[in-house]
Amino acid sequence: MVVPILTLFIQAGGIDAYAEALRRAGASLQRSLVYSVIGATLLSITGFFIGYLIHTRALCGWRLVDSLTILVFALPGTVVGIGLVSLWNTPWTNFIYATPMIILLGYLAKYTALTSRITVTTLAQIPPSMEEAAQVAGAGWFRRMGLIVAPLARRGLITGWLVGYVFSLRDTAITMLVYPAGYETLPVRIFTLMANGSAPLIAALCVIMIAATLLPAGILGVLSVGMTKEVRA
Amino acid sequence: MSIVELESVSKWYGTEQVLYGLSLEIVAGERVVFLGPSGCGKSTILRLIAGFIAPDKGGIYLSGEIVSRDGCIIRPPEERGVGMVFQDLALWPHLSVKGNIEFGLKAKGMEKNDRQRRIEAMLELVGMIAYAHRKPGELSGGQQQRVALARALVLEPKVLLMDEPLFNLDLELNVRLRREIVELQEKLGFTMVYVTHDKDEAIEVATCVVTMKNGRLTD
Repeated sequence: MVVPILTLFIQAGGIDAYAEALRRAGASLQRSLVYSVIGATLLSITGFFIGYLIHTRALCGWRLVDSLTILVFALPGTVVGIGLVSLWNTPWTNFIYATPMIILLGYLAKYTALTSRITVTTLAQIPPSMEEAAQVAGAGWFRRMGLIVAPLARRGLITGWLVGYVFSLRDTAITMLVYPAGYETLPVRIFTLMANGSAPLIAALCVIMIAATLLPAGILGVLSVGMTKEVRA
Repeated sequence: MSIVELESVSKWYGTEQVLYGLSLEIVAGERVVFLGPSGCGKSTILRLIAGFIAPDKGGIYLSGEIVSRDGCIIRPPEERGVGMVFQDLALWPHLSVKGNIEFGLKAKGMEKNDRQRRIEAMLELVGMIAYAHRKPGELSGGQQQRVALARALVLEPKVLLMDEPLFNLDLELNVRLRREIVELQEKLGFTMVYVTHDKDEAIEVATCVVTMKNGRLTD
């Protein structure tokens, strides 16, 4: 597992390859980060709502919704991508199809199963009386969710966000099929550069990709270490 | 006038019937205790009055107003003005004692100064003023019990529902808290609907004991 990553490091060589990589794909990297952060946030919110409805069985046909999200996740990205193209590539929906919003829609369609499932397992660990107590205290749904359920579920929600981020960031199949001209993400850029780019350049891009994947988990790790220290002090 | 009324209430969980056409009226200011073995349907009665579930048949009235009928919840729990102390107490672990008590007052939209006064008075009443900034996890069982009571009573409910609230406590503490609960009720005058499987507890707490078995009232 470590060998291919090490190979990439060695192949990328010195600082030049990275400079070249950022010059040629910096914009893609930036887009990738922005889309993944937005994607993860949208996935977390949608996943929480769907997960909550599945958990409380409030949605008639919750079993169907659950199975559908999992089915879409299980399908190859190309299938989902082609489906999105045929659905949205019309003159009336061009305001979405011709913008990066279509990429975000792709992430939502394909990866909601992850965040909704994580929400369901997280909610299952919270005693129902926690929310019921808030309910008899007179709190409406949003107040209950925001002040009681979400704080109690925060570990699961953070995990869900990270998973959503990683999957959005690494998505190649859907993005490649739906991205509007000039809006390609880093994995797509790597793919196209592979045809004629030099080996050190590609390797450097891959290393940057690895760093981008680890970035939020790293930030969270540092933050949580800081917080534990604070609590101890 | 009755403050809580159940009118031929039946309830099923799946195919299993847990309440059989139950009718009863609870008079304001009483301490009514439902006594019976586990699974007899007594907790279901509390959940019906609170509004977490609806009766499959029959109606439920609070202060003469219909709140649930025939499978429908007409007024949701947050609009019923009913307080509840849960068997597991359900104190919110991420909030302090004060935060737990304050939650419902904030939901009501009460001003900060008024909230502060009410919280202090309530903590004083249950003898927990020194623990306002502790988290529930840092309190003993009896202290948690008092916080749960304070959290429910601070909203001045007309009816307080209590689901085996002393279940997890040792006998000595259990007996002491029974008396405290009765004293509180006598001081504040709310109507109490209390559920237990313990006969001694029922007799000590109640002004009126209702015995139950297999989803029916017994005499």
